[in-house]
Amino acid sequence: MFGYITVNPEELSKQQLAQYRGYYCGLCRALGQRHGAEAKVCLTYDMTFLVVLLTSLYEYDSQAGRLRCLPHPLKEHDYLYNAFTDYAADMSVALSYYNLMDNWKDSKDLASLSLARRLKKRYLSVARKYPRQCTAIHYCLAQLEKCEKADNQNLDEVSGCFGCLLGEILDARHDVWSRDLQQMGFALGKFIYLMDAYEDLPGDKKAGRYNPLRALAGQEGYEEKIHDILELLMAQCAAAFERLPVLENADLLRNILYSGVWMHYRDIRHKRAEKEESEGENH
Amino acid sequence: MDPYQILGVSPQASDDEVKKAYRQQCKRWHPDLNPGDPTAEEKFKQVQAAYDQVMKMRQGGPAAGWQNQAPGSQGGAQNSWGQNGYADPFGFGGGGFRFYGPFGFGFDFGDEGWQGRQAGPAQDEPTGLQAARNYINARRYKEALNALETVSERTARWYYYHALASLGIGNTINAMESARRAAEMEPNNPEYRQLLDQLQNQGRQYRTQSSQYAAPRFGVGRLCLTYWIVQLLCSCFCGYRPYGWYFCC
Repeated sequence: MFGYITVNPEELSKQQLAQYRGYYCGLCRALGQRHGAEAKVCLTYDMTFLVVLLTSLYEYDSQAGRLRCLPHPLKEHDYLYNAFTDYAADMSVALSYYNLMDNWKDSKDLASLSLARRLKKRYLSVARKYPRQCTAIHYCLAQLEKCEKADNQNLDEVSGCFGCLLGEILDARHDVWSRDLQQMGFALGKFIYLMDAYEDLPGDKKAGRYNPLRALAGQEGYEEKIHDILELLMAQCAAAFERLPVLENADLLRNILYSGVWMHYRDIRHKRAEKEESEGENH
Repeated sequence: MDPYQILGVSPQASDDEVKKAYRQQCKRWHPDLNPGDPTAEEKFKQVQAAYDQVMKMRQGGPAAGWQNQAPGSQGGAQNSWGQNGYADPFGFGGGGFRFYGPFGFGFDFGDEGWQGRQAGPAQDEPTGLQAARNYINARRYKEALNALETVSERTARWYYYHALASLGIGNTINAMESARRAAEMEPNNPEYRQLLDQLQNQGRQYRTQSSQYAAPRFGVGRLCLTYWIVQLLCSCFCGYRPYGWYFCC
């Protein structure tokens, strides 16, 4: 369910895009260095957003460097690195570990289990270092599972579990910015969860799996309603962001919050419209 | 004291100017940079409170900081601002875990200016609604929702209280739905109208800013093609799809 919190590259200057890629590469590198090359599969855009947000809020200086990596053996590229990169790398491992275990439980996917087993040691070291965040992940995902088992269709309650989790992760330092970061993460987590549910709904319906949007999807004007809900959540997230005194990378972060997060949504809508069109022609 | 004066900017200053001024004042009065100076610490707290107040006022909260007057309403945030608060590069971790209920969160959504509304008394309310109103005014939103569950008759007022209590625990989606119902049932009630307006206003602001970005073309979101190849290989050879996980760039 990760990867929704990305940039709209068309609206970024070359320099901004280079900056963003720098943080992304830095996170990938940190994952490799801290948790081994395997852990690089935990890399997500969402956690890159976390790096940019925290780096800008606390105005940390980043170390810049150049590296080559396996997917790009020929071209050297720049990376940016600071203490928040390490934090995001650790959080990526924790989230991925739970996600893999979830895949294993849900679909008995052996590949997920084997990767989760290999990540377990890394996860445990992260959990020792960040007990607050990891307890939150554990607790919130357990709540989420309960909601899913009970076929809960109250969107706030179900997505709130994931929101709560992300809020705790964004609140890295537990300091004066706690409240705004928690509220940002809370809304953003809800957005991610519901976006994922929106994307999976057709598949879940076919397979008879739980989906929180099933009740809403039966109502008239479903597409508009779900769009309004997603927008409401992003509005809440953006409002909390605007309260934070972020000046560095503010344009980059706004690009993500106001435009980038909708990239995936547009892709889904586009694909569905195309599919409907081709089905219409066949009939 | 006027929060703008504390920050040293005019009330007409842009948001970014306020933020810049706040950062400058923080650097000037930070306790770590002024060790042993009690006035610096006092100033530092004032700057923090002033910034908080300005941001809330600008986001359409009720005029001049009722939050600041309410005893202890800022306690949590203020207390955690200590030696580890600002300049410690490795101040991660530690700290307690603050969940207190299945969907209760360790922070109060009612603290946000536009949400912390007081529900005014109405005549002839059934006991359940009265209880809900008292709980809302005491910021015990979870209990307010429980009290509302005991009332079977869903009047406009019920939906209004339900919206306020839902907002308090961060259930914005339910709050919006209930606020809309209340306003639909009694379109002439200014209180219901106002709540719905306030809720919708945030969305309007977001939409305005959002529309300044060109709609992305289909499929340009991928920064890099290698992701597709890795995903393809993974799904072919090990049956494992990394979903939105990217392996490259």
